[in-house]
Amino acid sequence: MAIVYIQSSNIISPLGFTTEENMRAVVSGKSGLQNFEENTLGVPEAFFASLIDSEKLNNQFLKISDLECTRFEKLAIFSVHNAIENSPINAADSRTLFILSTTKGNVNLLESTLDDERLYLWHSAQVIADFYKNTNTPVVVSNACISGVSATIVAKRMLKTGNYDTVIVVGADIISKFIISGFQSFKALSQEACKPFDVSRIGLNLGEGAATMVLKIADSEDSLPKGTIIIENEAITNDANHISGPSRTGEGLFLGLQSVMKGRTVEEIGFVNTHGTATPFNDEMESIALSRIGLQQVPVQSLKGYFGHTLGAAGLLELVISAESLKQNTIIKSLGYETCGVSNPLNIITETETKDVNRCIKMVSGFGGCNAVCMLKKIC
Amino acid sequence: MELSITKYCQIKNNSFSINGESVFSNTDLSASEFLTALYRHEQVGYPKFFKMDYLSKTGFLAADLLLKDTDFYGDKPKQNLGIFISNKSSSLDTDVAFQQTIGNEYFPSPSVFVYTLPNIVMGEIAIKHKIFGENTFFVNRDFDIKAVCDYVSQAFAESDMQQAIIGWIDYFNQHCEAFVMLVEKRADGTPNFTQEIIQNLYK
Repeated sequence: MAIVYIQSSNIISPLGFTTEENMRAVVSGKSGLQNFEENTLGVPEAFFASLIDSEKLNNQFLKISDLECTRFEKLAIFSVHNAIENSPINAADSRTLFILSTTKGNVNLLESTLDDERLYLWHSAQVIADFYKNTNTPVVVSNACISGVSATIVAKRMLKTGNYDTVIVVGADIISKFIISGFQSFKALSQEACKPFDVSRIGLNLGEGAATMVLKIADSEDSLPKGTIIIENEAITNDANHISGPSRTGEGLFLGLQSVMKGRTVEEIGFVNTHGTATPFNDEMESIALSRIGLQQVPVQSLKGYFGHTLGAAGLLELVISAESLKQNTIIKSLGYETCGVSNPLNIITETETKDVNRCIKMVSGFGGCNAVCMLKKIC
Repeated sequence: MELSITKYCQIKNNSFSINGESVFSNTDLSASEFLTALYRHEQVGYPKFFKMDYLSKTGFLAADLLLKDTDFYGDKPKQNLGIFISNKSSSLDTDVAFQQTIGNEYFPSPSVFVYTLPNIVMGEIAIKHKIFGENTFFVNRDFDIKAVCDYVSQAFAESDMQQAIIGWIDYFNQHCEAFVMLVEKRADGTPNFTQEIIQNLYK
């Protein structure tokens, strides 16, 4: 059966502009989160977040192009650039497809205009595809916080239709007054570094980032080198419960986990990368879903303590770190965790360490009641 | 097994139709007023409707009237029914409304903010009809029928999905449009889930 694998990747965050830089930072326990004083980005209140330095982004971008484009577009274009640089990918090929994962794109432009084509997400995707001279109509996936994992699943299926050899999936979101004020109005933000699954967790931190995965299709595992990471199994579900609150029983996530665990044993799963936003309800719901499926003993982590919640980039960014963890046989500490604060205790990773891991689960949930689950496997 | 379109509905130019036959229209109203008029005309009886933003109202009504009189209407849990929606304007109509709450007067509203995500409309449909299946939201300049057909056919092939609500749901600045199809995987079905046939239905 045809399989879909990760050819190359990139992450852009305050911790680095390549996958390697970000992985090194995470392994050494560095966080991109910091406090921003009131009136930053026009927000009246102070906030704690992980933001990319604009000057650094602009300078780096100038090295590849002097095209006039928005901060959001730069982030996405630059992430793709770094993912395909030094790889044999032809982004302009007629059998290459671009997929953009984003929740809000250029929404910050609403501060100055109500009538601008750049406000449309399909326009942003077109700017990215045009930059790489790709003539296929790009796909945009906008599925709240699960967008990045959703887009990866869409990419896998698009490859399996046989219409494409390569899919470049890029996820990005920038943090603006629009987004911060919205999350503040929900009382979802923490004024200090977030503490996923901890008893004293009070909310999430927003993060800025972009991540890219270049996915390709092969006839079988045998044709790929050892150490290659494949997207083995996946599911998207809905809680059918509430548009902004997670299900009390973790129903959708449970169904997704059940689907990807079909034919697998708990022992085969090296670690679980959760959504782990550090809001009281999200982490509690994830603990319930993981316990219901019997994964409570498997090492579990959240990466939000390093990157914050990077919205449309989150699923991709966390899949990239998970894939690197499999390659490097490393399980990464869940930053910010001390004491269990969920009703179904989990085996939270408290020290980054070397461990043989061949499979992992990435799971994520979002507004609208949506959930997505992906299983990654390393070819041994 | 064949993929069959067993029913489709359309809201366009202040007119609502089922399987191509006009059921209700009122061109004297604005698009937002038309949605409320359609809700009352069809006696939907779901008070949460009035809390929704216009994109969700549009999609909710189209999907509710699509499922009406089928086996999939109501709150019997459905794990194998998927929802695949695309549109042009994402949640821009509500984005603009939210932006207005954070200008000179800074009072961001959580009940507005939650609708600044396009996939919320799928959540509203899922809640009413207890749909636990796959839900994916795409944004395109136009309804990309070929991409939708390719993707959804592959999703049917690779999952336990048995039925899906598939279509285009867009709302921006009093411009409202919905086209939704119920597609079922059936042994006795007519294989009419094709790009050419949908192109014909979507006028």
